Amino acid sequence: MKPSGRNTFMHSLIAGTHCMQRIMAALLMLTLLSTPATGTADEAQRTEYRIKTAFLYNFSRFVVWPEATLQGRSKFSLCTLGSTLFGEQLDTLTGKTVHGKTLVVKRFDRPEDILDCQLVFIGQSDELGETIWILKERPVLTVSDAAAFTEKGGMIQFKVVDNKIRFRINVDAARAAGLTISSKLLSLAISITGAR
Amino acid sequence: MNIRDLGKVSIRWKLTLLIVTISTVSLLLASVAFITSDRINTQQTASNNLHTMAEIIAANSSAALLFGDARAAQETLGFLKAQQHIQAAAIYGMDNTVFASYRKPGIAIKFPESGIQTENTLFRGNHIELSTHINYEGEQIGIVYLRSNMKAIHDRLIWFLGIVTAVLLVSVLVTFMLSTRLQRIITDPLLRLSAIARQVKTEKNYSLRVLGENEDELGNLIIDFNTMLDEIQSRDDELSEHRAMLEERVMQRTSELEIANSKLASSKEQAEAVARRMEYHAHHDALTGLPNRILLNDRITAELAHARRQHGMVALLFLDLDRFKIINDSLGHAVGDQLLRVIARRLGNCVREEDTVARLGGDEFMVLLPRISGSSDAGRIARKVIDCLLDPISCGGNELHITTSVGISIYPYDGTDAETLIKHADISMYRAKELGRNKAVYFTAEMNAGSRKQLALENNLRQATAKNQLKLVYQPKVDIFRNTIIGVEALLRWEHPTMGMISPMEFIPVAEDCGLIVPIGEWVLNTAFTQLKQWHKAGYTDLTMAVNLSSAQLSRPGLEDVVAKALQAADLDARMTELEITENVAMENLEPAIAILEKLKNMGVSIAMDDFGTGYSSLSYLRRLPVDVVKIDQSFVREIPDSHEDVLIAQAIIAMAQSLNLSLVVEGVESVRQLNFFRQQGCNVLQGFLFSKPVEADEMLRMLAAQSAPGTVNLVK
Repeated sequence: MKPSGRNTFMHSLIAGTHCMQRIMAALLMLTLLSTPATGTADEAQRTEYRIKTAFLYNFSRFVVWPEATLQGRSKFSLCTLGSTLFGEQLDTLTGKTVHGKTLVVKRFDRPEDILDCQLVFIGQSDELGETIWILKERPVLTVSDAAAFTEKGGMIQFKVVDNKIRFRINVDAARAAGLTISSKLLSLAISITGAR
Repeated sequence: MNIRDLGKVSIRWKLTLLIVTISTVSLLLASVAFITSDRINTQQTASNNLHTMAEIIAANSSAALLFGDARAAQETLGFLKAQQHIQAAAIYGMDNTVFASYRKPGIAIKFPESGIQTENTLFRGNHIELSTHINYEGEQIGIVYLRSNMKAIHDRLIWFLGIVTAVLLVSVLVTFMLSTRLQRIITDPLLRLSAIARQVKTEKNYSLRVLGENEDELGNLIIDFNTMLDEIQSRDDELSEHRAMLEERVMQRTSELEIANSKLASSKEQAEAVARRMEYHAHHDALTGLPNRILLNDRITAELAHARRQHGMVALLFLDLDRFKIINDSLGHAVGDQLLRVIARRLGNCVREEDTVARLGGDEFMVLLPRISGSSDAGRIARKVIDCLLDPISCGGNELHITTSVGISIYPYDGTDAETLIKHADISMYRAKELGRNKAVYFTAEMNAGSRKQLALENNLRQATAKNQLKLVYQPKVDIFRNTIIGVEALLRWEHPTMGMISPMEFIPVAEDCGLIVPIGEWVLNTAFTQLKQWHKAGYTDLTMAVNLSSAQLSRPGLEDVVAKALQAADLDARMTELEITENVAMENLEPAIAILEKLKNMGVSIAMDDFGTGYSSLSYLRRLPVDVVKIDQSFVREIPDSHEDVLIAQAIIAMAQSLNLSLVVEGVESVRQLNFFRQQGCNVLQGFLFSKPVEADEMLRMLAAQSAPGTVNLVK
């Protein structure tokens, strides 16, 4: 499936974003492969979250939402809950296209606010369990850095392995929420929770 | 093999070579096309396979790329281990760095570092390189690079080449075997044709044919060849037929020639035969076969000698047919001649065996009655002769009643020599006519004295010369090959006011007797020569003039002077003149005649022998006489070509004239058949009524003028 070939008008509209994405990806790769050991902690952290930003976006592309969720929407909402280390970098995703919808970045602090999001990065929060409970079986992809996130009912959990950012996936949680995670994404996960 | 050398190779091998070459070349071309096509297909397939592989890698590695998971990407390349032909593979990120790679063990390949942004497939001799984009949702996220060896393709190619070579070899072999057999379809008829053609050439046998049942061009060729042979054979047959005919004709001609040669070879024999024949003709009348005057003279002389010894008696009967001239003039020569023959036969039948009936000429006959016992015997026989002729004679559809007048002279009463006796018989015959015809009259002495006719003639002749009653007429001599008048013969005419035309035969002897022949002869020569001169002046300068000489002229000395004077007077070239003598004239006085003729000839005058064949035509005499021209007498010409005998005589005379190198003139030509006969015999100068009767000088000039008018006049009437 190549959406770009389907409609030339649309293709030209999103050309600009593609270009940006390419630069982004290039930067990401550069960073990944030649992580400067001499860099400051801030810098390393920024790099990490820049990669995670790209991951968030890519997750959205490898997950299929139920038809009813995206139907009638014009926006794809990528939200954060609580405080995160993404900073401004997340905003670079704004305007990208996910499943034919325009991506918007929203930042929330209260769990009840995120019900209308399609993807939620849950930051440092004391109310992780509550949040997971609230979102349970709702078609919202949950991502977090939090340890044992997937065991707790979260869907994707970042984990740094060998200085590389990897992730774990709880397939059951996603499935319970009506989300379908691509096998390609699954094949990249360092661990997968839930029945195969 | 050199193309030039091919010319020496047989057509069989040429055809085989042709077929094998063509089939091999076409098979080669087909193989090349097949292999090329297969190679293109194989490459396409290889390229497609490689592409599919790359697509799989791209699809499987997209997530790994997106999430920077090199290990996972590496895993996607793991399946390549099972693909023997893949030498290397790599996944590039968007920064052109190798994200993941695979190398077949034992192969050291450096991955290209840049320039592979584009998607393409490269066939590089022994390997294929393929680069294709890795896309995710319409966005390029990296590049797959694959490198495959071409071994499979090369192996396949080698395999195919092997098969093609084998097929080629087998097909060449099969083609060769087939073509050596199939070419015979074409070559066999050709070789048959060639063999037969060579056989025809060497054996010259045109009856040979080529067998062939094809209906193609070769069949047509064979049919045409056979048709050609048919024609050659028929021509050959025709030719040999012609040759046989020719040979036959040559043989025939040869035998004819041999016959002619043997005839000629025995020229002595022939000359004798001719002489014998001439001897006969010299002594016999050509028309009636009766003895002529010469033989009669001999017999008379002989009988007179006998009678002298025995004191016997001999009688002569001179016969002249009454009114014969009328018959001759009114019914024609032919009837007259036939009549004469009948009369001659009757005469022979009604006299005794020992008697001689002779024809003197014209309608005059003489009967010699030897050993009579008295005058009355002669009278009795004369009466019988007259009676014999009284019976009507049917001739040419006419009943002719003939009477005759007979004069009788008897030895020893009326004369003791032949000449006198004949003369006296002649005179008494005239007497018989005077007495009313159909009578026999004995000679009496008074008759001799008063030969009235002779006297009358003599008197008239003297007046004639004075009164210009004599005149000359001219008969042309024609060269039938040139169709021109080449000369004329001058003929003397006496036109008596009351007696009418008198024949020279009648008055010349009288003139000779009384000496008038000399002035008359001179007059004739002068007149003729002057006339010729006039014609020469008129432009007919080639014309010659022939003048007859009488025996009296020839026997008198000084003839040559007379001739010379006449030539001088007329200012004429002697070579344009010709003097004609009769055989008998020359023979009577041979030696002087020869002398005079020699002189005349030396002057340039031609000498012609007139009436040849009627007199003493002895060849030995003829050779002694200085004769230039021989004139065949009309008595021989008359019955040509109907009379075989006359034909033979004419041919003999012609042959003789040719052998003696004498010119020849034919007299008395009256018919076209005679003309054709003499034309065939090669005689060119002819004279006679067929061309013209004797005409007067004016008429002659008109004829000359007419013939000189270009190409319009045929001299033959």
